[in-house]
Amino acid sequence: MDWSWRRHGAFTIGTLLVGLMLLAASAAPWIAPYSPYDLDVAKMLQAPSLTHWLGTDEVGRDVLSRTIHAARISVEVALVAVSVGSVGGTLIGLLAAYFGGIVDAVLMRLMELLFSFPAILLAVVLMASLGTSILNAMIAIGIIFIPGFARLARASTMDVLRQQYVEAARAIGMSDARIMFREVLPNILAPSLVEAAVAFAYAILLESALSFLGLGAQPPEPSWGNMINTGRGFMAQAPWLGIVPGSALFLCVLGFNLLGDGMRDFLDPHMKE
Amino acid sequence: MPLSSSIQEPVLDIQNLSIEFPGRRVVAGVSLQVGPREIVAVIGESGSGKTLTALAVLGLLPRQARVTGGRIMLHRRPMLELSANQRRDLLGDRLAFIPQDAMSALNPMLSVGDQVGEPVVLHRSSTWAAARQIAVELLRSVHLKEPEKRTTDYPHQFSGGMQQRAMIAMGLALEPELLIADEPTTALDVTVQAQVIRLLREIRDEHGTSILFITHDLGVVADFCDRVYVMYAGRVIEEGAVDEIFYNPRHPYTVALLAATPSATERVAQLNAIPGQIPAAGELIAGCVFAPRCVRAQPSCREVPPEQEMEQGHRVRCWYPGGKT
Repeated sequence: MDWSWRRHGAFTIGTLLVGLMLLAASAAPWIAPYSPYDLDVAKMLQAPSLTHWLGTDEVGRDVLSRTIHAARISVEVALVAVSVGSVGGTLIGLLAAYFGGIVDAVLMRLMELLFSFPAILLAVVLMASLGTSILNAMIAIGIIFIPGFARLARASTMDVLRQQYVEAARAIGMSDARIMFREVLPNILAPSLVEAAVAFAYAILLESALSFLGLGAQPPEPSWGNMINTGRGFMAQAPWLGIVPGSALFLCVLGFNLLGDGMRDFLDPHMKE
Repeated sequence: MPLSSSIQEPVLDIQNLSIEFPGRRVVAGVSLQVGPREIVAVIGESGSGKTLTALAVLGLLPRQARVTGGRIMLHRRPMLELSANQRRDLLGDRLAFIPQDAMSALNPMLSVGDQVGEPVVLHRSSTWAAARQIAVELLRSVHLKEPEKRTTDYPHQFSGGMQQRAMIAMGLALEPELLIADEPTTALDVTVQAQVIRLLREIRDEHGTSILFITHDLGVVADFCDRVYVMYAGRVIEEGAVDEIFYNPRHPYTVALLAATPSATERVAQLNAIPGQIPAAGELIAGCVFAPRCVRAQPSCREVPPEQEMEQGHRVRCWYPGGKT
């Protein structure tokens, strides 16, 4: 298959952006020029320069270093949240579709209940009851993702259950659990994978939103959300304070969305010639 | 070899089986036996209840369907009274099933070798490594070329015929007493069909496996099966040795079915279709179910016809069974 810009352009850009983001997250302590915590009030609110490429914040911390370190928190939160959401949701959707009837009705009504709240409101409510910490933010965001993955897994499971290989598996005496995990699960993972990429972007956005509201990462821990919140107060004097983490957030979310779109095209048999 | 029920105990014995979907009866009082080393065909149009009868034996009826009467014995085991666990122990071990479309009956995400060897892992607690070895031998026994190399292949790398062979190998894994094949050749090319049929007969001859063969293809039945059951609208309307059914059909439906099969030697101006259509599932017809389409129908056909034994083992449910022609 030859590479063409039209077919794979979005996927390539997405992969590059996501790669950059993951690199920043995993190697933050080595690539960041300064510590994200070092205060130097003498240097506060400096404009971008050769020593501080993206300037300094209101207490003289290097904005570039803080932005790089914030990527780390975002990735951590997104990773845990998407894991909670995808594992929990896929399991619930699989069970609901496989057993049908009352199990299906109860589980899916529960999912609809979760779905009916606006995501950010649900996160705030969950954070309020769980307590404010970055771990609870991860869990809260994860719970928000459960219904989406559950619906997706339920739909793909229903499709797989109509296939003859499920009947064939029953006909050799496989147990329900074995059919679910050995026969059905591998066949429903592809769409969930695409959903996971998109959910990753959304998780990063949500984490930033929670941190912006002061419910996520707690200062002095850098997060794009709380950096933007700080920057808000200095928009006139030091616009880089808000623009830098905002752009990082934008590029990162864009990257995951392009990656998700590209993956969908790869996995969709209709897109193949 | 026709079954002489007085001497040999049947491997599969279905008595008076009835199956209902909510509000409609789709199988009504079907009795059917498969003897040791016997290949028995069940012929019928779609909707005649032949597949549901087979699924009832396996305990794999669709969720809404219920068995409302009758008895199914597999070597004296009452299939309808077994717990789910007991039945699972028999499936794939003593009783194997070959589905219609091998193409979709193999899981696209698992290698063929793993799937063929799976019954051994399930029922004999074998290791996967040992099961893969057994799978190679099984694939060899169904005449798959270079089985050592093919076990790691995935189903999409197999042709339709090879997939059906793999399904048969999987069914044979533990030398079952009975193989139920649901139209195993329908999805295949004619030349491949013949190979699969030959393979099934070879399995019967070599392993002594009894086979229940569900089909709508009369051509396949003629030179392959020992005995035939003809089903129509959820009932067995005629049964007998294959030669009896083909050369001396008694029920007007069987006669019409045979006449409707185009022959290679005769050129007909028009294909002989049976007038009317098969009654909708659950449609209630008083008396003989075939009467509305029957050329011999008389007023007495409004009564349920009795089962009459015409020759040894040749039974028919009809008020006016045709004679020898």
